[in-house]
Amino acid sequence: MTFTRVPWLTLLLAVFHGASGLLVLIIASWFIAASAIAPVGFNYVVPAVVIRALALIRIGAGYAQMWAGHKDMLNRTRNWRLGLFSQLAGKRIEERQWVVEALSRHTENLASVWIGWATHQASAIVMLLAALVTATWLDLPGTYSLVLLGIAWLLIQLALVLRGLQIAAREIRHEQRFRFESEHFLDTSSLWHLRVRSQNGNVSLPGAPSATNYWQAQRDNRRAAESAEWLFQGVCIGLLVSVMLLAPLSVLHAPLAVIIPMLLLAAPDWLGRSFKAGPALTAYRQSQRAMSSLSFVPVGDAGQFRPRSGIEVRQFAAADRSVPPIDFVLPARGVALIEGESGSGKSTILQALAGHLRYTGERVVDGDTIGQGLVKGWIYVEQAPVILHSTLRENLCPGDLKAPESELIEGLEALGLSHLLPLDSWLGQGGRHLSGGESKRVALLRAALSRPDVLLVDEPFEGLDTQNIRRVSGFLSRLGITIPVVVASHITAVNVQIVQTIKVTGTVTASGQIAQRA
Amino acid sequence: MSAEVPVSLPKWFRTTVATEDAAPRGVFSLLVFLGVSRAISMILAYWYFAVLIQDWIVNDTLSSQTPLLGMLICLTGAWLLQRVRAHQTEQAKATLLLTLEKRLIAQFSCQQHALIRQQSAYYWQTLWLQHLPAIADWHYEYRVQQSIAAVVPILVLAVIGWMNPVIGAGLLVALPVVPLFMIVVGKGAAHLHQRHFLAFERLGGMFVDRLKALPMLASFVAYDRQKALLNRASEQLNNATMRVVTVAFLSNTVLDFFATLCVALVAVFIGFTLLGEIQVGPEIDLLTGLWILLTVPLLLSEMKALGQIYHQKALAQSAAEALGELVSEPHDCLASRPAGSFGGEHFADFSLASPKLTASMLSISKGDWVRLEGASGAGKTLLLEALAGQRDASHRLNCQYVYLSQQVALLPGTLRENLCLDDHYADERLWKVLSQVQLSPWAKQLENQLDTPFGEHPPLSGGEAQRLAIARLLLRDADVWLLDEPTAHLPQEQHVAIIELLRVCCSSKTVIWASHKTLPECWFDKVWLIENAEVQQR
Repeated sequence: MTFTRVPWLTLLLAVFHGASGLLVLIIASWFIAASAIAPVGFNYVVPAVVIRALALIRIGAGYAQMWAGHKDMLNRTRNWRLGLFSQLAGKRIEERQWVVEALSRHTENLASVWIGWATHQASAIVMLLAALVTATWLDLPGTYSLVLLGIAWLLIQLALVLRGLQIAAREIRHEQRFRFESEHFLDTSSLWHLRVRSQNGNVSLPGAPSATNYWQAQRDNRRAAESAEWLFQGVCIGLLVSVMLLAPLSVLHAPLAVIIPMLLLAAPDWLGRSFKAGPALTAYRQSQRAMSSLSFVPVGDAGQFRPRSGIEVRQFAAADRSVPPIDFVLPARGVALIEGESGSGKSTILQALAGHLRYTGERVVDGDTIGQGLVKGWIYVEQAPVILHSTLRENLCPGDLKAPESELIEGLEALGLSHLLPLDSWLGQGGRHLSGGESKRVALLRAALSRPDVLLVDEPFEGLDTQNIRRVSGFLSRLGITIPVVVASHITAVNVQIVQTIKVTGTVTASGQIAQRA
Repeated sequence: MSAEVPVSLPKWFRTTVATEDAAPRGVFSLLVFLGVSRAISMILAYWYFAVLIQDWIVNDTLSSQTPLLGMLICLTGAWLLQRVRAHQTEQAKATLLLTLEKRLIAQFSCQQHALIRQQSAYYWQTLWLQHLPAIADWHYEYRVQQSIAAVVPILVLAVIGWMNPVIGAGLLVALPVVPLFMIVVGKGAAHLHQRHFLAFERLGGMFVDRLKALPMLASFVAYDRQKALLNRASEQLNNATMRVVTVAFLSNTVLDFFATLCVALVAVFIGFTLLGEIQVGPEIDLLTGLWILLTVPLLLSEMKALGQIYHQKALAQSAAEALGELVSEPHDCLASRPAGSFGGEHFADFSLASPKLTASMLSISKGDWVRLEGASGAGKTLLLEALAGQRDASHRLNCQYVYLSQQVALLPGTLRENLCLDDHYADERLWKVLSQVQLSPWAKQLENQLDTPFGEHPPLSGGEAQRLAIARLLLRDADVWLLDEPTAHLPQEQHVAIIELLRVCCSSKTVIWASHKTLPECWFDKVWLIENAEVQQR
């Protein structure tokens, strides 16, 4: 997935912007020098006009370059993001939250390498070559210094790129370590009251991670660019002094001779600034790495099955979760309950049944064994369901299937969610944030509106007050009239007719053997 | 935490961060001084450079030693000053960062679970990794550059005016226009940003949002539709962004316009004066002319440098809003109170400001068992956290306590580490508490017994985990036990077993127990009922 189209317009404008600025300074200094010793009849009008014209070109090119570069960058970001999203059809990302969140930054880094790094290098190279060609053509004294300047620039640039790659690797390593350590540290904040130490009024928390190493790597990254720039400035000073010290007699009374010293004096500006872009390249490489090491897990497609007589599982367990396999039969209608304490694997059974997780054992529908993968129409409602940053309507019907509006409103009323209306109100970031209980009920309604063949609901009652528990259990009972509904819960709701109870009480022992404790 | 009204960044920094030598004025002034000195060095170097060129072109002599040496010294001086400034800046930033991190951890130590549980781990990581450095960058880069950009133009204007009052006067008239234009442009961009605010807010996070929703999208066959929506949202977002930057970039262009035009016009003016076409003001020779030409860009170059780090201000603003008081010096922290034994408490007019919770009278004697009742969401956890000192309430328990919550926190380390945390206990003591909570058979069959690592998926059921948590608290010998629905996630038989266990383990302790599952009434001396944000003692 690469977007190799070169943004020629942006590059060209960047070169114009840089070159016209440099030319203004060079021509202006030559013009002053020439005016100081001007013979009678010196045509001063043309240079004066050229200087002003160049000034206008620079201003225009500067704005146009920023504008075009930014537009190009935004388009690239969009392309990277949609490209990544396209790759993910029928897959899921098996990563921690921060890795997924970072993808937003990574796509931006990838997209901005042109505007952030390449344009600076392109205009540096073009200006360097142009200066060299012009100096040779005019046979200016001290032209050799431009060759040396170019070589120094190239060498320092190479060193910077190599150093940047090293630092990029280190930065990633330290970030990962900090994320890992801090995640455990923050997740166990309920233990901090046992860990806090205080001595002479100073409070400390043993086991607290520190981001110092990560910041140090970031600092090294910045310093590498600064050092490169600084080193190059030193080279410029050395070359300038040597050119002026070793000047031949031909510089006397020759206004053109100011060009080389002026170029060298201003070199930190027109050439040295390209080093500042170094961190943008490092960020690009980092993001490239992160994107290529993303791990996707394909979610297979098992087909569509509407159970007529029932569903049976045999020796069934989610793969790689080391929970004991179980057997049960679900009737084609009614609410079944999976019971068991937290940690016993209720959720994984539901997810494996829907096909979100790979499993061992068999799923049998109406006597036929079906394969691995997601079954269309078997909807799993998570314990903490996903609410899209979108309208309420979009959240209730995220797919192409559109239930009639009246059904949406009736459903919302039945689940005590009418306060969320109108349907076009925005949920999530930039809109209304739902509580855990509201999210559960929205997700339940979403599942019901998709006309499911089987409904698998994880802990629907947790965090609800008694009135809402009654609403949800009534809702589930009504769904159970036509389809099988499986509910995993440790709370037993009062007004649900349970057609079957499945108890899960197994855990694994540390030696890896499976212990069944029924 | 986040302020309703956007806080003034410098004021927030002064009152919250810059206390107790966290950001010494001296370092800041030094950095400004180094920046200004460098500019002065460059102005001198330009003078010697102009002298050399004057010699070449007008006086027809090759470079003499004195100006060449002068130029070398001044350029090298500027070169070294730049290095020193860069080094000092990084040092100062690192020191400030260290302080900020220390204060954040100190605030974590004081507010603990009551604070952390309000946001995801990812939120706190972002706060830590990105918001803290944003503050340091802003203070030692942006603000320093801001001061330099204010001093250097005045300096440059003064020397140019002294050398040639006509050019100086011209620049003096033109210069104030620059910030004026920038302010106008900035206001325009801010206004546009405000107009598209909702689009930025809603569409900005959509990409990651849909990535997280992938399994759901697969279930609901919503992938294609959401992809099309994402495409449209990106298009809208990009258009809105372009509309804002089209104006925002003008700010840069204004600077560029004046910088370039100043050079061009000054050059033409000087050239024409040298040619004798214009005769205004004092005589100009090549030396002063070239020197003025080289010095004029310094008028705006520091301001341009400021423009390049302008984003630091916006980052610091959002960092300040997110951090709020979290990087201030913690005071009156529970961790610093004396570890005395508990002799009972009597709280009159207990109050917690936000979220609101009050009680006219709460009393608890040593050895009391208090049952805390209330509907879910009424504020049982709030009261326990306030008593524990994790929230800023009018009263707190002034003794050592242990707190048992509904979710058991387990470290990925060994069983021993999970029991001891940072302390050390003898093996016999560990086995004793394990047998007290009836976990010794379970622990004995573990491969390495006490030294079995838990990893990401600990080999425990929910009931066993809660027993382990109780064992961990038994080790601490605290007088007061705060129990926050320890059996909420357990099925009925486990609930009964765990509460019986707690009854035995805590018989001699002072206990405040929040639960909405049934507990035997005869166990309790008192009931505290929370209703409508008020605690009533019965």
